[in-house]
Amino acid sequence: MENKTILVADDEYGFRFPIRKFLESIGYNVMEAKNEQEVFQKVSEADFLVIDVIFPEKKEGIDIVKKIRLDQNEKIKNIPVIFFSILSDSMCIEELHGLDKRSYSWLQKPFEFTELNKAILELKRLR
Amino acid sequence: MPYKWYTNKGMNYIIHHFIKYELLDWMEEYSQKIIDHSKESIVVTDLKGIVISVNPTFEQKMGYIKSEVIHKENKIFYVDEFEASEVTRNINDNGKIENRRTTVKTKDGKNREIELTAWIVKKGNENVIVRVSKFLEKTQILKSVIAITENILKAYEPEDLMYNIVKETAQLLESQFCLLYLVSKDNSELVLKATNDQEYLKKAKNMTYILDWNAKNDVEIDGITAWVAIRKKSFEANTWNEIINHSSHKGKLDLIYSSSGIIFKNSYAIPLIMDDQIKGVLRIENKIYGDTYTTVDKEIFELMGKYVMLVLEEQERLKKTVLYHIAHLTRSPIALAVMNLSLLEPNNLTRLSRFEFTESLRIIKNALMQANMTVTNLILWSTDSKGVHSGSARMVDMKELINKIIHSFEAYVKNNMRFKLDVKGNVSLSIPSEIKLEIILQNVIHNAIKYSKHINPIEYISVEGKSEGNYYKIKVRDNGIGMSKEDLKIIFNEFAKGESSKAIRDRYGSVMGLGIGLSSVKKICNEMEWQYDIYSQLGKGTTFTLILPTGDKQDGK
Repeated sequence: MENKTILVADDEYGFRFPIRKFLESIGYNVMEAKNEQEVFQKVSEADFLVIDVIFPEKKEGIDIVKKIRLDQNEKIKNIPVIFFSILSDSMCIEELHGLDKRSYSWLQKPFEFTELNKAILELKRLR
Repeated sequence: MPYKWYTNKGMNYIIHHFIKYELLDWMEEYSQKIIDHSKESIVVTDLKGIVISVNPTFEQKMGYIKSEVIHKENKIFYVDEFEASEVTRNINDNGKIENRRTTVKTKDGKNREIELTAWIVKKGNENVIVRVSKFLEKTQILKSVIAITENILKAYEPEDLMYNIVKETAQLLESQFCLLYLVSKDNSELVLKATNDQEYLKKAKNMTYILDWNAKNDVEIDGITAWVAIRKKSFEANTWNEIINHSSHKGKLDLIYSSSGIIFKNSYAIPLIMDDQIKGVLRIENKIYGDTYTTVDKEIFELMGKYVMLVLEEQERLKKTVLYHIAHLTRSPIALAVMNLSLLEPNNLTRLSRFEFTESLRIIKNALMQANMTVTNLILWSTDSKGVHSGSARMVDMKELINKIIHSFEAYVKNNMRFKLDVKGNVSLSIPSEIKLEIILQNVIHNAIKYSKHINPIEYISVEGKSEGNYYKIKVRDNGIGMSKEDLKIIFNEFAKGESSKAIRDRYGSVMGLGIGLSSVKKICNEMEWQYDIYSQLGKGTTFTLILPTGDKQDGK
């Protein structure tokens, strides 16, 4: 397993914890962010971003990703993203407008860890 | 959703009137009164388009005075003169035109958008064309509709909103008294009430609003058939005053309506129809306009109806929002539990330390407790606490009870959280419903945990219990994110969550919540006649105090 780093962003510790444990168990380095500020502090060190959509409320997780997509730094700007949410992606069509569909995946909570792994591998393949 | 009744605009009313009474001499005083009072601009021409008369609204909107336009060709009002000819030709060919959008120019040369409806009417032995134009720009009233709509979107406070609407309407009607009320979909309760009469409002707040639509008594008053619906009892009335007197005598709010709206000397009532069912009645009493109503009034009634519909629509939206939040609030803890349980599966690659194993179990228990509390609060909310078993009154050892509740939270809170317990003396109280007392304390302690800042190495929540005079006080204090004064005003309302503390939440992390926990606390306290108090400072923490009567008077009285 390559030594890639994944940033897991969710204000709810109860979600960050199992996701981190799983990702570590399959060989990734994991960083956590519990708010927007921490995402921006840590995103430059990450190869993937796994982010909750309702973060911390409404659909602000998507806004955060949109801001990241405007970054000057090419690596940060193009970071592959996995959104996860209680909501389905079809409930967020308006908010997702403008984001390149090939640059993100969507998982609906609760999801199997294998699904998360598949999503990461798929995004890697597309790069 | 078809809102039939308010699509009947003033203009259609006039058309209807003229078509229905085609044979009447249109110069009859009554018809002329309608024309003179109409908010629509009305121009009467001969069949060639030569102006015979105009109404005051035309003069006001177009800037001409009557004498300047009589005997002139009506094409002088059009931006496109050819269109004027086309319109007149169309009316002559078809007998009428309906809702045609066009542009006219005022005396001072300004272009104004109108919607024109015109038709041929008999006037004595000759035919004339009555042209009714609705100006499409926003009038002052429409502006206020828009402003109020925007307010609805910002905050949902129907009572205040309706009160303002009625106040404004009363001003528009130059009336001293306006009353508006609306019953719920199943006719079982009053959804909205509003009046500009403070005394009436005070009285109305204490009324019971149960209506029995099955008690349909057709009553004929002043030649108009009305239904009278009074709680569980039919009632016969011969005059409007009898109904009013009966209603006030019984201290109940009764509704009087007919299928098409009834008009009495000093009042007007229109049923609100949604999905082909009567959802409520809009009734307006007007002391100024006497034995008739004008199209001006009609327009205002319709406007008020629109407000009511806006509120109804808002209620529909609120219902969906609430259901969405409920779904979210129950799904979130389920997702938390499922994902943490996945970590514990034997075939999972994950290797957990003993600490991590315990941590996972704690998260699962936390999630399930969250779900359970949401469901309990929802049951309380939806059943007015009847859905929660009361148990029977018994002596409760307060120390034991507080210990029990805190113990149930110990496995639930994070490792850096501690309870400081200070319960003085061994006090036993006769509690009518121990379960409801537990629900209050669970909600309050749960809030203290939820709204802690989670930044200090150790976070404390203190719970105190002690006798003071004839009362036993239980205080739950946290050093969490606290609430602003604005939040404190609304926090016990259903679905209220502190908004002004958003910046604080952003700093310390957010929490899930529907906003019914504290409203459940309030509901139970009101039911049990227990007192409570809340003190909070934004960024510093909150103290909740529950004050229980000790029953056995300690001072020996």
